[in-house]
Amino acid sequence: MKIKELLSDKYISITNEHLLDNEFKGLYATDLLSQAIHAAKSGNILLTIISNLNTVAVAVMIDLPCIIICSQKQVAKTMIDKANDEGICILSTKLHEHEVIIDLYQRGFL
Amino acid sequence: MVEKEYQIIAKNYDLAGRASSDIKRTLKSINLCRSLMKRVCSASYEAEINVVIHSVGGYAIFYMDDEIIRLEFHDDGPGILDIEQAMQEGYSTATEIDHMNGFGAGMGLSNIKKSADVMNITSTYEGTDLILTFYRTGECRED
Repeated sequence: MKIKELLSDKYISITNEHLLDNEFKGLYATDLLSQAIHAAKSGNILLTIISNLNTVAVAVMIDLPCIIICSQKQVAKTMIDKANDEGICILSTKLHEHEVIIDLYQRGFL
Repeated sequence: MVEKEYQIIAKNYDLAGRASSDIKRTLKSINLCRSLMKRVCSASYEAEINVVIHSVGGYAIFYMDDEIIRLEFHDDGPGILDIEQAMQEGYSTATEIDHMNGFGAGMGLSNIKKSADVMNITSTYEGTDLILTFYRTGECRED
């Protein structure tokens, strides 16, 4: 499934538009990057409030196509630039992590 | 046979992961199977971050031949006081800044041990030496 399919007015894409074509399968939510490295599966979307270059580096390392930055945390331009370079899509949302999970579940994505 | 060396700079979160990214590119270029690649990359990234967070700086060496992949991480101290304690999940000496960067949960070393086939670690106040070996033969467990 492509990232663009789950877009709604609650999510803003902040990386290059073509990255919305990235394919995903399932999601993993954590604010501990080590836990993501340990337990997220390749193809998962990462739900987190950790908004920095390391989040992108972890996504690259374990093949995560998309990061959803929750709770309206600021995303620095350096992070967006790196994500664009590495082909990782970033969505930003006001929703908290559990609300994203509920939203995606209710809309049939999980 | 491939051998590469990378410098790792202490406290520089912006460059953290540079060595591991390059190692991943090398592994991708030889089409290493996904499960082994994930184990190597996970361990590599965790170990690199450990050097960034906890040491005064160091370097990594990536070695690969037909049978093994070996990752070495060497730093210049201050060393791990009690390795057994550091291996326990949840134990961490990381700072508030590390936590804000998403690290310091006390999972790094135990994650590394789970990922590698063989892990050797020695540490004194002059530095820590971590050597990880992954066997290329007999594996392709898919996730």
